[in-house]
Amino acid sequence: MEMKETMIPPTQKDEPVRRFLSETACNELANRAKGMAVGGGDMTLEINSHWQGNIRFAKNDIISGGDYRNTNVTINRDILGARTFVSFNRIDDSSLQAGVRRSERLLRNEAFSGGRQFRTHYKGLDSLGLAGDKTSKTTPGDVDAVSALIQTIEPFSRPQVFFDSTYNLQAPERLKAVEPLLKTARAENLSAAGFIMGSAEGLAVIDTVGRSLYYPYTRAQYTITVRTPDGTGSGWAGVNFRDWDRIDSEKITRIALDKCVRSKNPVAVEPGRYTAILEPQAVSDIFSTVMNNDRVQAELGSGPWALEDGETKIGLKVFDERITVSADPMDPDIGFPPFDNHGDVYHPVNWIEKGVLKELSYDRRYGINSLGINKGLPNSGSYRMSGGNDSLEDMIKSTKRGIVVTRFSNMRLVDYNSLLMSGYTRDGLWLVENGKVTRAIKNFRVLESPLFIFNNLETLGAPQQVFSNYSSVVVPPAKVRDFSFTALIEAI
Amino acid sequence: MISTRRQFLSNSSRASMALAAPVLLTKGFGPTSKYVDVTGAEHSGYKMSNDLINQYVLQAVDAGKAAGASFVDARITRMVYQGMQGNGATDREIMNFGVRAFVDGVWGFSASSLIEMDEGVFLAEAAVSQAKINSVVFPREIDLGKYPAVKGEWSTPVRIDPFSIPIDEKADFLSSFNGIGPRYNPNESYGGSFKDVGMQRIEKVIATSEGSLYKQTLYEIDGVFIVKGKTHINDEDVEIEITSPDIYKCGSGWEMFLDANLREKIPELFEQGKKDLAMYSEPVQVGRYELVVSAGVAASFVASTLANATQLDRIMGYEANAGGTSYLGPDYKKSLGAVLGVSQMNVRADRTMSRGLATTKWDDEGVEAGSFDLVKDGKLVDYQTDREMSSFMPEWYASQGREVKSNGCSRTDSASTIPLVHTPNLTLLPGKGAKTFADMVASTERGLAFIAGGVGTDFQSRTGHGGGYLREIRKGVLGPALVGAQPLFDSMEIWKSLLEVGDGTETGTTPVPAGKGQPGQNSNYTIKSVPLRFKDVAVVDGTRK
Repeated sequence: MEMKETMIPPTQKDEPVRRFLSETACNELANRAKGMAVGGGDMTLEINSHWQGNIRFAKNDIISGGDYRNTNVTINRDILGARTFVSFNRIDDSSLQAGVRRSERLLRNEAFSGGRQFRTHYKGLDSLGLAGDKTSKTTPGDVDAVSALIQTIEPFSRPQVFFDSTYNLQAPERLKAVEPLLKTARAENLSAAGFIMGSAEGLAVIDTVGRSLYYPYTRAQYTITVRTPDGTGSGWAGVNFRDWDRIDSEKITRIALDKCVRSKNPVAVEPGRYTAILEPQAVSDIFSTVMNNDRVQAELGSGPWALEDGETKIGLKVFDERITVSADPMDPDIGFPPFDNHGDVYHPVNWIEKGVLKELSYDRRYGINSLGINKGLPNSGSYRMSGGNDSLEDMIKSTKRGIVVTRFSNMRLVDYNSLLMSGYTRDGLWLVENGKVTRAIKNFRVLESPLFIFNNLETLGAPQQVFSNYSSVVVPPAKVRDFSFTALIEAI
Repeated sequence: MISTRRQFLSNSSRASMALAAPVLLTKGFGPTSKYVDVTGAEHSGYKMSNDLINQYVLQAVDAGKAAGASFVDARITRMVYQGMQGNGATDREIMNFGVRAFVDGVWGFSASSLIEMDEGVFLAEAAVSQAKINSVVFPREIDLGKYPAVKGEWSTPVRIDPFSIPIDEKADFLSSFNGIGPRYNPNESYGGSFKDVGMQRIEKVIATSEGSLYKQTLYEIDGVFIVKGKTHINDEDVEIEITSPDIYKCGSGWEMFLDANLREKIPELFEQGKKDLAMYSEPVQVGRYELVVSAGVAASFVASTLANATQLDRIMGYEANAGGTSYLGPDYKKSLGAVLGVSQMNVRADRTMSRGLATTKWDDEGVEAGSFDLVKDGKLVDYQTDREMSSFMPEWYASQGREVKSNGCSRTDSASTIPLVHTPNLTLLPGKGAKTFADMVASTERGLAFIAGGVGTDFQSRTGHGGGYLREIRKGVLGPALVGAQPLFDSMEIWKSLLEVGDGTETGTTPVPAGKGQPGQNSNYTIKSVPLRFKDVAVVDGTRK
């Protein structure tokens, strides 16, 4: 793809109201801010300039349609290793100046406290030929050297993550999408509630040393819950894509309608450990916590990836060997902007390869200080999980007694070290007996860890896009043994 | 048709002026001329200019009316926040301008972070346009009612605006409790420290098409104060950690930290921590128990069974695709008047509680926010409503001899999101029971004391379970701590098993964070309760595999 020209989304060029800032506008803003800085050191600006438009419906009626434009600026001020963050959302001169001054005043407070912990480990500088002496003591010069390295521009890929179809999802187009869905729900005497949102953002990271990154991207989402008028059945479906045209809203509505009808009048079955057939959304709901994979935290001894004495589980088998989890900004399904809010570039990565933990995420500063490489391995939160050949139907057919789960709700981490989570099943839960779905059953509270169930794997299906609040996720359905359904709940 | 800014401006006398500057790069307002960096709190040392802001919101309302909305409200919010963690600090200032318009039963909404002349007109036109586009195809018949215009200013009563204090001074104060403790006792040492300290001030100016124009300044302050120390008990080194009950999230200024007299209380807290050390613990025996609940934990019973559950929009299914619905629905009419608990159970909702996180004078759509009964003598008598929601209850209000009126629960803490029904402060009113939690324990033959922790419910606020610090009660005396004890309950039954409601001598206050809506929005409220005693509560062992 071409460079600069693609940085201004084509649709935006002639628009009377720019719904988010262009690259030129971000640079102009940053230049003004840079001119206001006093006291030396570096300054990095993160600019998240954002538009979203949405429509919300419930009880087969449209409740509201809305939109919002916002530009959030975070100033990261860095002098001799002391850093502060100040954020605000107005970009006129006086607001900018106030923001810069605030960051500098906070910085004075920081600096007196002796800087932050990254002053203490610098073993990587040596391999980059930067450490003058080999003691771990640092001098301000070292800090500047790290900062200088961080601010050199890393090359990055240019994924296709901006789509006009999403940018053009304005009020009339949103209504056009909702109209047939509500008419269907009304005709079938069911009650639909849902939400469609399109958003576009220009993300810029610009600093005083000369680094200037900008990337625009879009995101579209559609979720729907269909309930019986008496509240005894409920079905849900949803998905998000960068490209609104990839969302088949009628198909998703059909799934939710069907789940609603099939989940009516559930009966209670005993809580306990069951073979669970997790639909892709359920897999994502319980796996999401695995993606919280900070390397520094693991080295500090906290969380599921820590071993003793600062060692981590990298290189150890943590899941069934059929599980591979990867992320690549260029992935056509889960693609994401090529750098994070701090300007660290995303690299294609296998976090987990054939069940073995291959990588944990770290920022560029850590890469330089501890690994001797001038790159970070940030985690965008978007990921793709490998799949298998079983369809959902195959999984049901091969199950003597088990439970089909649509999704989990209110999932909360109970224990960080074991990744034990608690939550509820919701919007469609069925009992499987002798290879057939026999009845809708009442929801459960669940208490389970992905570390346990993805080592208790029976089969995987074809990966597909699911709904995720802040990222893009492609996962397969999974059949697992001994899933812990701990208590019945009355909620439908 | 959606009207673009250009189309609007071409009809406007201000067109040439506004188009001169590139959109989104125009000047906002602020401390332009006399920028002073002496207080160390310059970003919040000034407040919003009333004249200018009033002009903006009024202009927006006029434009919305002109465009054909039957009701319009416009708000500008400015939130300043500082979070302090040790010596580190975060600092945010967020301003937004939002306009909401009602056309044929459908809401349109438009918001931005541009606070400037004519932006309100643009937002109003966009909001009306969205409402029209949708209501042409899917109109609803909803009467928002008529309410008297409200005018004026109101602020959370605070003595010291936290943003008037230089950050260095705040940091000094917060770190000044370390190392307090006995100087000459080699076996004992302790000190106090803060974590998660946050302070927030929201200025909110609202105008409505009914002629309301009002400004409110709302404060929240938050923090945790921990006394940590070491001592020597029975020849063993024991570490003690205890949290001060006087520091919690509430609607107050900086004075919360000063009035708590922490310096004097550190030794007391440390002694309390020593006393609270359960000398031994046992696994819980699964069964049904009389459950004596401290006032603080009782507040979480109220929150989890009634706060989300009595929001009428949730009951009706507006939140079905988000946080969930309610066990009181879907037929909201049937639940009104239903028996929820024993006759001693009375729950009042209010937006007036001192230091309450939902406390305000007017809600977000020009309704004076007072108090109302949710549960009276054990019966559910009302819901949390805004103007739209109250319009669904004319028969009920007529049967109660009351006029249809919003309960003033409309709220959005930021103009970037549309107002929704949010939970007001809730109070479980005193009954005829014992004075204190300790008294209730003393009069219990056999049971469990639920001292600290809390309970939660499912996505219909129905099936609940809890956990935390529970101890056995035998013949009125606290026994061992019970490992893994988790009370289970059903919101529709638990209040019917209430045996005793504290007489109000001892109360507990709990701040509750809440969220709803799509896109999501958050709010906080405060619950006040007295200690309670329930009969026959099922308790399971949460540690059992």
